[in-house]
Amino acid sequence: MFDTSSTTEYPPASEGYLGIRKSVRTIWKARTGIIFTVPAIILILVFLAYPLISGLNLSLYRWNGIGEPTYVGIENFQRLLADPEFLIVLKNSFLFTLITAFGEIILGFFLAVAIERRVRGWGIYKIVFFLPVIIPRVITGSIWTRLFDPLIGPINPALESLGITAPYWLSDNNWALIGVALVAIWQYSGFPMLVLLAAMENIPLEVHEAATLDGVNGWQRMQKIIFPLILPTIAVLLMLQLIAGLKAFDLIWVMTQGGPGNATKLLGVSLYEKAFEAQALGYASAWAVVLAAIVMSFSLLYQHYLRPDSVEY
Amino acid sequence: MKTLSMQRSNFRLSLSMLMGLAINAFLIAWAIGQLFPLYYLFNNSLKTQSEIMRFPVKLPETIQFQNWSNAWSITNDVNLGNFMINSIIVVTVGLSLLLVVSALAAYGLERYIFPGKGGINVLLLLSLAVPIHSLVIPLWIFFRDLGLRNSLFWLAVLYCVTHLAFSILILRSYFASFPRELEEAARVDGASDLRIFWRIVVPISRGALASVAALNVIGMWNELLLALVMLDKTDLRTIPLSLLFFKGEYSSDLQRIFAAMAIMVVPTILLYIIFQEQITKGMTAGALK
Repeated sequence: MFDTSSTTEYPPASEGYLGIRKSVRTIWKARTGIIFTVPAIILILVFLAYPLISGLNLSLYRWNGIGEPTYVGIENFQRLLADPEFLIVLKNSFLFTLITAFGEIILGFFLAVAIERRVRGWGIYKIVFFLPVIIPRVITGSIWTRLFDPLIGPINPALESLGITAPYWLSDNNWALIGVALVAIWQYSGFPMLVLLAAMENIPLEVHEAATLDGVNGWQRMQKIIFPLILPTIAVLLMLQLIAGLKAFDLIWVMTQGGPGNATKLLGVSLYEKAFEAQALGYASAWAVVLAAIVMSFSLLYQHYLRPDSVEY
Repeated sequence: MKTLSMQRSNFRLSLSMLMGLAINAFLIAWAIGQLFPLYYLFNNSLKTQSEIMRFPVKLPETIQFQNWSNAWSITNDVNLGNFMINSIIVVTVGLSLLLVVSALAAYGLERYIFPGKGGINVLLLLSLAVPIHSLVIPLWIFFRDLGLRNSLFWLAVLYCVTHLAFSILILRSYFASFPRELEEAARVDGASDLRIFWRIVVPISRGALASVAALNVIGMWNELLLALVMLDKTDLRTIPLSLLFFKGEYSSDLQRIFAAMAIMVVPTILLYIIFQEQITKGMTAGALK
């Protein structure tokens, strides 16, 4: 610290008046730091913290957006737990997350391995494979909705010509979720690819050299060296994907709006529908609280166990 | 610097050659798979309605340029250009606000000690974890009651706030390894803290700030939920929002929809091609830290 007096330790409470003087002096000396930090804090308090609390409060009411809300206590939560849709939504969310997480990470892994080999044109492949990640989901969702369309899309005719009976994809209760998950995998595999590639390239050359000296062949190198070393990165990616899967809204809303029936209703989708279509704001807030609780637990677990050094307490 | 691949090439056997072939095939196949939907989009945006429905893959018989000009104008007052400008406004304002506020906060938190820092850390941690979906309802009410809805500026503020904690995190670890000697030298010369920050730290940190911008710009550009909730007026729509409604309003006019999507995706692709290096570097750094 260049201004060492800012590191004064806070005097014990018994110091009373003298202690207050010291604290004020500390704050005064650090005033620049405080002034720098204040705008961010104010923004977060006003636009994140306050809505969170007010949302928590709202979940205790029943309200349709007009007029006065009626207090109902925990009735919304009881209703939620008894609602069969809740279990369906949870099941869908986890299924979707599972499929997309494994699909994206496995595909991303193989892509990273392939690119790491530096075949001809690897730079172009890298650019092409990451391109879908940045395209708005509204567009990819719209394109794939048409691609999956059994009447005008090319996918089903192609499958039929191979002798496979093609499902009706987004209109089929069983296949809708898989269809959407496939699109997500298609769109986002570039991200794990990039991250795993960087992780692989970060393995120090000495490790590989030592292994080469020991006479290791390619397959063993993969098994014993590369894979274990990138395992933490894979864990991080899995966690990120889990959290993203729970929140997923854009793609599903564009492709199926949660249908057919409840087949593609995930937590985020269901929440939006209840709030802005069914106009059940209090009840939707209860769902919002549950979603927040689940996502935040995973996020905090992730921060604490997988990236402990990036956060201070 | 010797790369791993250079080392590996010393060990090519014929088995490796076979593997090489397989890998190339895999890469080409996936590249086709990734690009095909885009080809489908642009290809079909230049076809007639019946061509789109009957021959999804073939190139158009005659190129229907008017699809694009038809899609461009929605009504007499509003065209696709408006939507692009809206997106540009929101993202520019949001990003600028984000960079300023997060850089200041990250610097303040990293270089100074003051009471309450522990609480602030917890606050940042929580704001990183909370899903925006859970906040849309109270935010909608909040904005409605204060009349802040239907404002590109306040939407930009919202975009800034939702990316704030993450950006602060990244910039903090950057400032942690920023050499203090530069700041101390300036302090010895009598510069005030603010001056040190603006004149010395910020210019040198351009790279890190660019990474933060790259990391967040895509998310802001493609953001749908908040825009959907906060904007009712047609002429205020951002690109993702306008496409959503396009799909609804012209659901059977395939020519128009494809052309509109094709037009709207062009700036995104251009931005990506120009900045792809920063974007990919930023993404990996963000995830690996």
